Amino acid sequence: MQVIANGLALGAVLFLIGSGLALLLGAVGVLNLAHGAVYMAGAYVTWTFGMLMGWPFPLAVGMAAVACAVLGLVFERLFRLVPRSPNEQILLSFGLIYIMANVAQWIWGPVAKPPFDVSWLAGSVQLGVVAIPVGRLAIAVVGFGIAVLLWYVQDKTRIGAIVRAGMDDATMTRALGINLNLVVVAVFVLGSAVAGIAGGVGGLVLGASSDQPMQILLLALIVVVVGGVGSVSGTIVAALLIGLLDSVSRFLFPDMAVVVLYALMVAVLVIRPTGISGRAS
Amino acid sequence: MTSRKVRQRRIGAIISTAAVVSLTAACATSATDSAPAASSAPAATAAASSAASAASSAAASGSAQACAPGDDLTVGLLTPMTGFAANYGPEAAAGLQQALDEAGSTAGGRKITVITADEDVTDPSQTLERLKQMVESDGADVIVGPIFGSTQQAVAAYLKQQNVPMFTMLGGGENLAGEGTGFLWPAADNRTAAPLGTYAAEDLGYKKIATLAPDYAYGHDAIDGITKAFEAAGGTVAQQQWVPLGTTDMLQYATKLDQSVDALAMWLVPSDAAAFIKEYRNLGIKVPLLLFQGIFDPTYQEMGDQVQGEIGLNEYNHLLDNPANAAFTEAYAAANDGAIPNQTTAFAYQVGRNIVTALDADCGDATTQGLRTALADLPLDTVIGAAHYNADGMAVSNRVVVKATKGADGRYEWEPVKTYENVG
Amino acid sequence: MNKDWGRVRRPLTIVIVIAGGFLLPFLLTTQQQSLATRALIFGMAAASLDLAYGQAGLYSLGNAALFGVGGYTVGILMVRNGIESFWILIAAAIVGAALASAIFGLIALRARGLYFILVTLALGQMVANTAQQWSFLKTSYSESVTGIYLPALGLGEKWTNGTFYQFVLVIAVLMMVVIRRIVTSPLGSAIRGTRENEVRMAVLGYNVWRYRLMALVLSGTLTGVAGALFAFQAGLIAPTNVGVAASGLLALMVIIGGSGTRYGAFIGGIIVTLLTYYASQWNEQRAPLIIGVIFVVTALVNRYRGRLVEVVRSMRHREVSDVAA
Repeated sequence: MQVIANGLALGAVLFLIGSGLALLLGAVGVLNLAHGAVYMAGAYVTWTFGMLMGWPFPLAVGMAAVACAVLGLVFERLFRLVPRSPNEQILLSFGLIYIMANVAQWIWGPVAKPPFDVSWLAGSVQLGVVAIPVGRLAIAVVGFGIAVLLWYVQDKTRIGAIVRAGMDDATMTRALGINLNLVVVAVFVLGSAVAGIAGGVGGLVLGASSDQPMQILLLALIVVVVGGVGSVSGTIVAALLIGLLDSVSRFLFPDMAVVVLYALMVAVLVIRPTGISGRAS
Repeated sequence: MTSRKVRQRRIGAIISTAAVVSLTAACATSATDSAPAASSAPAATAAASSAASAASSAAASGSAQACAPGDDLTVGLLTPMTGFAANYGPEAAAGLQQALDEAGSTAGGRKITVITADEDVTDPSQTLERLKQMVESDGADVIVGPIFGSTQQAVAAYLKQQNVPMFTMLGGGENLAGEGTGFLWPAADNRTAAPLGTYAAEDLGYKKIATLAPDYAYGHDAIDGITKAFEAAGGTVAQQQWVPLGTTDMLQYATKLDQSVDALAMWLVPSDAAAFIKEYRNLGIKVPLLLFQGIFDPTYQEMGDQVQGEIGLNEYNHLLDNPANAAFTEAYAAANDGAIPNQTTAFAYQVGRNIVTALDADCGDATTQGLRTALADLPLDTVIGAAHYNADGMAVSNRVVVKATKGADGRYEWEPVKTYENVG
Repeated sequence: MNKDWGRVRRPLTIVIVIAGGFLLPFLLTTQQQSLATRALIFGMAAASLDLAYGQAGLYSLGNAALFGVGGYTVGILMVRNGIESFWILIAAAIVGAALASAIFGLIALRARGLYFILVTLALGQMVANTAQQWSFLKTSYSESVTGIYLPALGLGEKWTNGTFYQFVLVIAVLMMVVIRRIVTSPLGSAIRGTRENEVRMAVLGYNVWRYRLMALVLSGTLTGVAGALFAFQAGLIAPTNVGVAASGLLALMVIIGGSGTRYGAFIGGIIVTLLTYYASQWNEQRAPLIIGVIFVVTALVNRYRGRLVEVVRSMRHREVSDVAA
């Protein structure tokens, strides 16, 4: 039972990580491999404000969201400047990863920051036979909140409708006089802000380190491949599924647990290539 | 089209001729060409061995002053200077430099210079390239380092082939000594942690323990040392958990712990240990910890409140009370604004002193065999007490069981509780 | 007279460059010879990646896995089984890499477009993780295969850095010839067709999927050969040489050199290898930053590259007639 609770807690972290990437990929068709670097930025900014300067944790995470939103704006400009082909996007993304990882090392030193120590998020909560650390509960709550927010935007707002329309048929959408470019900017900013929040809140478990750009990217990838980019629900289901699977497999066969995740991805690919939410990209 | 075919044939002919010509030319000139890949020890050996034989009688009488002056000696320091472990490099360099300064950068009649190279922990092939450059182009006679076990293993074969001594300062696998060229300080990995097991059984009366360590060579070696000693003293090991490399989430190892044990013996790199202990405390688990190596600064200073009262085993501790350590910490503090040296600096310093002692003893003979013979059972006054290297190159030294406490100045410390001698 | 000279000029340039390459060791130190060998190896790896990348439009970010299959095959056989013969080792590497790329391709081709890129990234990393965890792939306590040495050709030669460099150069030339052959053959045209216009190819009766798989297998096999040579040169092979970072770097080599061009990828491989080496010589700590900036700048400049290439091409009157010949 504990194992399942752990898995769901992990799933919450994965959702936060994956949703930003799915958003960018699905809505705008941009392959931003530097998404993990945005997460890292969020983690370090949160650490600086929360741990170093002693601000209240939610405020620190808020700062991270703002900082990463700005970062998203910058990224959007850069991605707009390069040709639309995967080549340039890959080149740009990797270049950004190299730069950001090294800058992080430069500013915050090479040694990784251990998981954030926030006093009112310490200890654990007893739910029946299961003990869940408060920190993870917080992550789950934030994840849920963001999931609801994203779902609301996607399904209920005009912007969401525009984004979906843009995904399905960009030409037609533009022909209808809708400023798709502005929407792209909005998606970048939102996706990056979510990544920043993920980094800040995820820092309770993962800390902050300059290794994170690649690490987080890989995790986000698996979520995106399994969940598909079409809808928030797909990402949610995928994240929880992966979290559970990881937790269970580490419990049962710790050695090969890592490979199990990739095997899941492979299985999904074989059975249903567009992922759970099934929208062709 | 025929002209294209003819063209291609012509090209082929030209290329193959060029190839044959150059290869034969290369074979002919290989004697004068750059150093072959399988070269033997550097030329300095000739001078050193003649100096050694001339002064061997002086060495037997223990007088270093009788060593005739020899060629310059180059020490290659191979430690991480970039990446996630970049703190080790400067720390080691500082310690080594302090030792050499004390000896006037001379030993056995030879002037010593230090060159450094970056140990790339994630990419051993890069490290090996740099090591080759140090040994073949820059003339390193003796290597100090590498820090990480995976790198040590990766470069051991090459160093053995070149017969270049490798002085480690934070342990090493047993296989590096003996037939390899390794000089392991403060002991081989699978022996260094044994006292923790002994203390747990004999002094704390524990009967059952669980273990936790990363799933690779050093983790296994360290835990093996503990469990063997613990079982030899009558205890049993109820559960062993191994954390795969690259794992980020420590929660499951806390939840999966068999809480019926008397204690959890563990070692993890500082940031992972901090993560694990955070989850441990969050869940309110009461099982006492046995922390091999304690927890290193600066991480310890950031989370020391979570482990107060726990027992650990240190290889080095700056509070150790012996003349060598007192002198070392004083000198270090004087040169560094009152700062406290950590294990990397202390052991780099000690290994530097060991090398100087060895060279003085055999009058500058820096070959593996010469150093092995010089150091075998030679008593050393080290920063952790009396120690010596055995004939296979593994050091035997003291360990100290410690308790996590807080000093009067608010600084978290590890307070020595009991010393074990001749470990290794 | 002019026309004959024009025809001879390109091959002549190539011959001069290659001959120069052979004579290069006499001007270099051992360390530089090592570096040059490595540059050639990565040039080969990039060029073989381009078979899938540039020709088939399959942007694989997982080729380092195949590089690793080649390297590990050779390493394990040498260190565990004591096989010394170059010929046996390279044959094993080829077979291993071919099989692995086939499996790789079968899985990855289930995904399309940008998804494909993601999948290859993840698959590549999966192989790297296996290399890290599976004890069969680790020798003597380390997380890698160590103790690899230069293999025997059976000619009783004794290797030096210089002669190994020349040996690798020969293989590089051979590989480029092979790649060129593939590109200019009907198979190559078909592969390019699947990139240019998939629907049309299908309508014409081509099994698009099969051509894509072939492109991946060819690309992966040759990359495996480069990986084997890397293992020989470096003396060891580790999971990091197989993972995401390595794969990404390969793709970057292709992109910087120019994907889909004749020698672009090969040159890209050489450039990036030299660049990373000299950047870290200049400033170890900040080298990745410098390289990252170069990548970003290149990406931004690429916007104009298309026009640049057009201009250069129109000045030289080649291309169509060449390929058709």
